[in-house]
Amino acid sequence: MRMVKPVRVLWTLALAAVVLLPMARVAFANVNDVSTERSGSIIVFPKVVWDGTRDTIIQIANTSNNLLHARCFYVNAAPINPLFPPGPTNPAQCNETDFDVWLTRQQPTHWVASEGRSGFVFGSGYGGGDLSGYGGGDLMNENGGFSPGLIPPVTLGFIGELKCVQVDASDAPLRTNALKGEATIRSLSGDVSQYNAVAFQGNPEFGSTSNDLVLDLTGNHTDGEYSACPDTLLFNHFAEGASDMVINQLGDCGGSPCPAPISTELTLVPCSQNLENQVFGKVTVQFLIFNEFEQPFSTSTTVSCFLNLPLNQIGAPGNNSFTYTVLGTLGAYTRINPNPGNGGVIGVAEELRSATSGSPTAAAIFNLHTEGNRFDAASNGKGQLLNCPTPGQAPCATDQIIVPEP
Amino acid sequence: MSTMTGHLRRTILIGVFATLAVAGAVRLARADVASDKPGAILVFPKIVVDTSGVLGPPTDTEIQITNTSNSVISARCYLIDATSHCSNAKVCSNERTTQCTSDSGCPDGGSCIAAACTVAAIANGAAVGEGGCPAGGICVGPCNPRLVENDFRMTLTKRQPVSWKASEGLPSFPCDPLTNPEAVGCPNGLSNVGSDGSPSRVPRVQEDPFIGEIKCVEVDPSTFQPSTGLDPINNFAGDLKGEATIVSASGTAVDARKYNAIGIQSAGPFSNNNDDTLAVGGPAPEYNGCPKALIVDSLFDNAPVTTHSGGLTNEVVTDLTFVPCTEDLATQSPSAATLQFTVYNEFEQRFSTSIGFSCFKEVQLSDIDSRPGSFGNAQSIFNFDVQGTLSGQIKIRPVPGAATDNRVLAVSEEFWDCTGGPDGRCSAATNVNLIPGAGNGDQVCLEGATTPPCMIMH
Repeated sequence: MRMVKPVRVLWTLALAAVVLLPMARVAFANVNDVSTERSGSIIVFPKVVWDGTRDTIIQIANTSNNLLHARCFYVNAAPINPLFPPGPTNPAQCNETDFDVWLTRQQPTHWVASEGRSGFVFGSGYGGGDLSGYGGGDLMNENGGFSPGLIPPVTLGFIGELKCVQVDASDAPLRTNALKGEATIRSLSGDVSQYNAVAFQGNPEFGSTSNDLVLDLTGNHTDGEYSACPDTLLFNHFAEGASDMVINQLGDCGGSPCPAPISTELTLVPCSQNLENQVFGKVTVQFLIFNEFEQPFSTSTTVSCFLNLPLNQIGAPGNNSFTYTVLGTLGAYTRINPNPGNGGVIGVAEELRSATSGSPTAAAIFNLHTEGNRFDAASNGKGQLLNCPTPGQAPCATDQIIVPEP
Repeated sequence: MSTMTGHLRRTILIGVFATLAVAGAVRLARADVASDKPGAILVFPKIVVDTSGVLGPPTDTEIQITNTSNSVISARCYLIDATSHCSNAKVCSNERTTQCTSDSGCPDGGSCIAAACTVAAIANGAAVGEGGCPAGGICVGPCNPRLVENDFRMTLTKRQPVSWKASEGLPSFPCDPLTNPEAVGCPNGLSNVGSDGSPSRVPRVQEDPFIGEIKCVEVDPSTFQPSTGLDPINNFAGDLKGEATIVSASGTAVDARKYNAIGIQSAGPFSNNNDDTLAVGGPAPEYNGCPKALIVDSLFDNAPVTTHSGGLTNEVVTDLTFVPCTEDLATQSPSAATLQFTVYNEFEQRFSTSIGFSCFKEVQLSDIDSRPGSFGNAQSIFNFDVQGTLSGQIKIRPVPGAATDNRVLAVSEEFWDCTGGPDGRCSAATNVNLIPGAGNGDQVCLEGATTPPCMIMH
């Protein structure tokens, strides 16, 4: 009896340690996750638009007290034939255009996608008050400020993403997490919607200067390079075609309640990109949708370079699993998971509301929630990829961004 | 025998130290609040209801909350009213421009209510019933003299989303046969009825117009006491996620702006002692600490922004809404905070200012360092007329207090001149960026809190 009790205590304590130890390690996971509200070393704007009706204002800031240099890449995912909707016979162009951005300490900057920004050092505006000593030209205009460098305009019809990677003066990746950004999509009617860029944390201790940026930094794999892509995207949305409950009550459509349909447009981009060889990621994702009665529905689709579709066109078009006709409730909750062996995706969702067909549309864009990470979810935590037919070769779950050699 | 005893003793000590080290590591996890991850406390910093269009276009807020886990969860929620009222005027609820002293002075069906106001509206000369006050009156509030809150409870089944309008609340949950006779019911007999048999319900906001905050705390479904999350997939950080969409409509002109609720994650799987005093950050946290500073990238007020290849130019202003992390819901005493602002323009020129507030603060950028209202805005350090560049980076640092860090959470909104929006305005909302950092922590004291351990009850 006296021998049994100490052994029991021993096993209890050992079991507690075994149970607690993994939990202690993953308690640090949040610090290394992608984030939409912390600075990072890579920032991604999943949705940039200039189509003649909608334009995008990009704001980027250096949150550090050091000079910041970033290489930025536009990826134009407009369909090859702009007259027809994107599809298997009209794929996205996936053309990449890159440029450099230089920001002084704490400097914010901005540009408009349709116009880019001049490379003139001071822009053509400088300060306020008595302007007589500051040179000629129009001194108070929208290009005031230290120029971040020459930023090209995007072509009319552009829809795609913008990605910026922090680098040092020699263009080698630098991981000091000093980049943040926001995008404001503005319609010709004046309507606006705004979202935060998705920031990937860099590991400052990672010594490699390779242009092959591996997204494998997690709470369990702390010697990784950049934040691993999220394993699951979570988002709340309204059923497609449901009537907006506020507009239905407060709007006035000729003396009658407004039909006020809501539509949600989902934008997803793969985390993996090979910008050197212009090979863009392809990820098949599963959607698990829950209505307010907790009833599950599902569908799937493939994200080839870029996806931007209303929910009712994802999977089977028409009365698909996102519609009010099928869901039966106003609200829904969707979980988005890549297929095993696939890399991850990130994205935003944009709700479009109008009082009635033909009346002005109000857009509200928002960042998606994330859960877990693609590296731990698809590997055994030691870099050995699970569900990967040929380790190191596509399709594999560890995401990589390969930037062109400078 | 002695060798075996010594061996056992060593092994026990190793196990004890390992457990303590691991438990300590769990408590010391330095992570952040986040608006892109589920949490154990959910904060909606700005809820607006103004269905009669007193303070602006007719407006309401759509609230969405989801249980992201595969377990039944419960939450205790608090609807905090931060609406300000005229000190010397009441108006009829069904005729907002008619002043009254009692219900009998109102048209049939109306009641005599305190006139809602804003200091900016008074400064701009708005009439009573449109946000202004009669001469000699002041706009009292928010939370003056007390923090006014209505609390409510909900139980959510696995992965269940719910949504409601703030003006109406949600008197009947989808899977609640007690209040919804036509409830389909959720799979496997799960329902929104709490373990104590109480139905889930969300009350409507306390008044209209209304401006305020919602805070939800995840609780154990069986005891309704604060708890960690239940989902091991997200490390028990919390299972609540939410969004708020502020929608305005006037005729067929509509506007919408949306932000994610801010999730405060549990500090670890065993971090919560299940009492009504919630330690948010600090040396012994139950929840991750609020951010040490906030960063807002903003277009300066009245910046003329040109888009569409020069085809569209409009001005924009930005509002920030702050709520304190420390909150005394036990004695309903408002919490104060002081914020230091450092502003950088695109020439890296730096400016600074500060403000203090109690309980809730919604402020246009240019009103931070000038009089409320439009007077003086052109001389504000947040205005394009002073800065000369369109955009700026604003760093906001709360000043720590004696007992708590007095940190804040915030949401940012832009208001653009536009022809298609109600009252000629279109808006967008975003979550602000955060800078994490250790500190003494903040406290949220729920209604059952006692002193000690709650340090902020008066």
